[in-house]
Amino acid sequence: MGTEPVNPRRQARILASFAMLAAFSGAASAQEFPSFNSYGSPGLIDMPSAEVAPDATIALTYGRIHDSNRLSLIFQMTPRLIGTFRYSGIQNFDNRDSVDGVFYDRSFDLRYQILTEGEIRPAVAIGLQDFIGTGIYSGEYLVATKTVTPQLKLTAGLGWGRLGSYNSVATLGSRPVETLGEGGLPTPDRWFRGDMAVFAGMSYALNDRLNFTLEYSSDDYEREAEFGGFDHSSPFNFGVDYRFKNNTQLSLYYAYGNTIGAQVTVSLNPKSTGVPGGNESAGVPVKPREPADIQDLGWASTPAGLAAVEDNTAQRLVTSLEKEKLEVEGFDLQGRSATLKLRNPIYGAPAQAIGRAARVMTRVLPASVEQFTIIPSENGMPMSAVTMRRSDLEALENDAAVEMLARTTITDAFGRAPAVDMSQYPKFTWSLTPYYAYSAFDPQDPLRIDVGARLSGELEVTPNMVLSGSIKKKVLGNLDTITRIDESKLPRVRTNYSYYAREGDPQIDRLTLDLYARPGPDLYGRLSMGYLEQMYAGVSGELLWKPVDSRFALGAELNYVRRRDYDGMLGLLSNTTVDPVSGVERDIPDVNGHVSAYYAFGNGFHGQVDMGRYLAGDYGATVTVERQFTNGWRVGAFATFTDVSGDDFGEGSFDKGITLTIPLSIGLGTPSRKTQTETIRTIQRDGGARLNVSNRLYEQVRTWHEPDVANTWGRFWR
Amino acid sequence: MKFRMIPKLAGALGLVAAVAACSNDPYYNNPFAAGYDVIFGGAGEPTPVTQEQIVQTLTSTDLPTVFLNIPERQSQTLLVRIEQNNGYDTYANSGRQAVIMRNGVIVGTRGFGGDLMSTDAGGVRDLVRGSRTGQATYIQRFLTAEDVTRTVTYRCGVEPDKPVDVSMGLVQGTAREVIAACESADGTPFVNYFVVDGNGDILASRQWLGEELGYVSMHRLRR
Repeated sequence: MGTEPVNPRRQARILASFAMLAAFSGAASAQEFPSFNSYGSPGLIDMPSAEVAPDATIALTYGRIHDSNRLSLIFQMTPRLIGTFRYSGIQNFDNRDSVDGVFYDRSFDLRYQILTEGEIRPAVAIGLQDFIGTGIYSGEYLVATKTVTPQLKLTAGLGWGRLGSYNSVATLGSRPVETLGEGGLPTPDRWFRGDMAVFAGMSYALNDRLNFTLEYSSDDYEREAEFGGFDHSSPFNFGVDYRFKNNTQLSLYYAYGNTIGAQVTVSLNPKSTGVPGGNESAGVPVKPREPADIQDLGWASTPAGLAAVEDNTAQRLVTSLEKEKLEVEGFDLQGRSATLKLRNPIYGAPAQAIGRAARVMTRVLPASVEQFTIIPSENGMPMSAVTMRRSDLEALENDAAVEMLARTTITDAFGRAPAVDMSQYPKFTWSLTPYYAYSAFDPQDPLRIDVGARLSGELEVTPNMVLSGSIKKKVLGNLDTITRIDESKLPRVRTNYSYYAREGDPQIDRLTLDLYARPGPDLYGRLSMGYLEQMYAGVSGELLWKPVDSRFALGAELNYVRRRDYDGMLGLLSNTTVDPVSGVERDIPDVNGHVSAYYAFGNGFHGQVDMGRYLAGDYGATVTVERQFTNGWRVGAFATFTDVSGDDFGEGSFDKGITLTIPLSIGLGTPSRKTQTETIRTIQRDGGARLNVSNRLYEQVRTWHEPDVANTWGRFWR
Repeated sequence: MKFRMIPKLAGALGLVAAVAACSNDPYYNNPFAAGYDVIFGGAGEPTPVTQEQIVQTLTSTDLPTVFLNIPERQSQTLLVRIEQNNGYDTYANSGRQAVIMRNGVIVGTRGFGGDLMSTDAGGVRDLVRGSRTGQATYIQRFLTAEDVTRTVTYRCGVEPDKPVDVSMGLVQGTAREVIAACESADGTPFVNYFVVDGNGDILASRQWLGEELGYVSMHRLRR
């Protein structure tokens, strides 16, 4: 295809003439990716370093040295703060808590980089290892790492707890060993107390791929030696890491003077994983108007003429928006303005749905129409009124997206939505999909999985009235083999899970009639009736207050519940549960509910507090903090504190966990509103347990409010 | 979970995925198919444009037409002008991929993946079209994988070079090569080539469209 116009000599000359520009261009190199240690944190082999991973890194590592298996999930929460969740299994561990000789343990770490590395100054970090719970890996450290040459890094630190147990140099107070409460509580009584010891190490990067590590460990592995066949012959450990292009790391270790170990680390980053901007096809371009046509209002001069054009235009809008995978729920046309009630089935970025609809409107609406108002709808509720001038769309199509945002107003849509075109209702959709369900961390079998098929159906009687449900059938799995029975001092609101898993096949996941409404300005309402979730049926009502331009929202939810039968069909059980261990009868209260406050901090962090009465009748609050990325990734943690004492709660002392939400669009490369959320709870007990209602209002509402729309505005012209 | 279960589990998953993923919902996405694409999708087959396709396209429409080659994607395509707005021309193909140009300078793409969202090319465009030597700023905007707009501001030097003969499709004549070399603190440096005729029309070019699309070459087949 013709000749490429290439002239290397000229290219070199011109580039040279701009060499001076390089002077202020600086080094824009990507942040270096650290090597991960056997605990899943940036570090050497068993010892930590002061390094951090690039902001927002999520990494999963599995490693084994001697009899210790460790699976760790880390998240670089902020540029300086790392959190780790670890599940470990130590084999040949002769302890009363071991199952078949394997001691399973869950632990959390936090590390904060106090000082970043400078010309002379080393990076300095402070860390808490296994700082919640029984604390088999419990240790704290202060560590410094310095890059001496680009290849060579030196690390030295001071450790307490495990990290202060070999060749201690000093003692700082006394370190208690008793487990607090029922475990699962932070252990500040131990932090930075007891024996201290020095650890050190170095890493040498032969090239981008190969890295050698050497450390002097201040851990004497006392617990492993006491309960297992552990032999600590040397404090020196050696390692070699091989890194693939995608930052996957393979490591081999020679440790403790007598054993070998291996580890694999995979990582991804929500900020850079996926196709930038997506692979979906282009939206239609803006169609500019002929100046002469703009003043032509002849078509709207008689009511009959207006109605005819409105019908015709509405039809063309439906057809054109269908090609953009958008739906018209209502349409109103006036001489100078038009209002479109829009339903968005697929676009994860609200601004993209609005932008595509606006461009279609420029191609379809009569030239005299200058003001476009798009009212996005969720379950029939008008969520906000996004108003734009057509001449701005024409003028700014090829400018920076923020220019159009500056000229767009987003206001409350209460009472402003056009009448719904009822010709499409009732509407029925169904799907048959695979599903999986799992149960983790039972020492009898740390991971149980079911896979099977799920049949879902949804009947929209009107946009605001939806009858929906799903039923699942297991094809293969072992969730029905859960035999563990623990005593609970509370009504068994969640700990009867194994009965549902065993007897509920097939099982109706849920079957509800949901009603949605806008009871007033800034107010949104939901009423759900039926089989609300796996274990409960009943009625759930919710009211949410959220001004359209606000980062803050308040909600209230009240539920009336009845226990569902274990077989997962339509039957109900009384709300009285009998504890299988103690034989004590306890009643699940009929009514529970919460008042919730939501706040988007605006820097990607989001907070939520739910206060109220939980399923077991306990009163308290759940605090949730999430880091949310514009493209839909979310990583969060939650903790629930209620008036149930740690002793009555049982193992773990209180309910807590971490959540990871992955947008399906990352895998598809094309838009999707679907996300998958995994909640990792160390243990599910009966205290602090909430009803799992689907379709809570806040996420539906905030999507279309100013902060979220503005946040995704880069996709307006995509 | 016992290890011996894994082959059975994989088999069941495959069976379930094959048999059980369907819906009457037009917006339904099969998550298993998506996963399959991610794992086994890889790069698509190269799609060269043939002489026959060029002849066919030029005879089936009277609209301005361009040829686009994206070596980074091993992809070639023919695009026909579908809209004009304010001096910006949108060219698109039947696969709903689009390129937006202003006087032949590519200022945006859509539907290619890793698209160039918008460009402020004013000064550079004027220098190139006038075959003049000078310096100007050049701003490109992209979306990151996180959906945040990334703006890269370049400083460019423009210089005319040797005259060339052009014969592409229905576009023929004598023109001059003009070179723009650009550098930025936050982006890869690049050198763009433009073939400009006496009226300041850009007949062909090789332009940098960002790290994702790389260098893309454009030839006008009909003005």
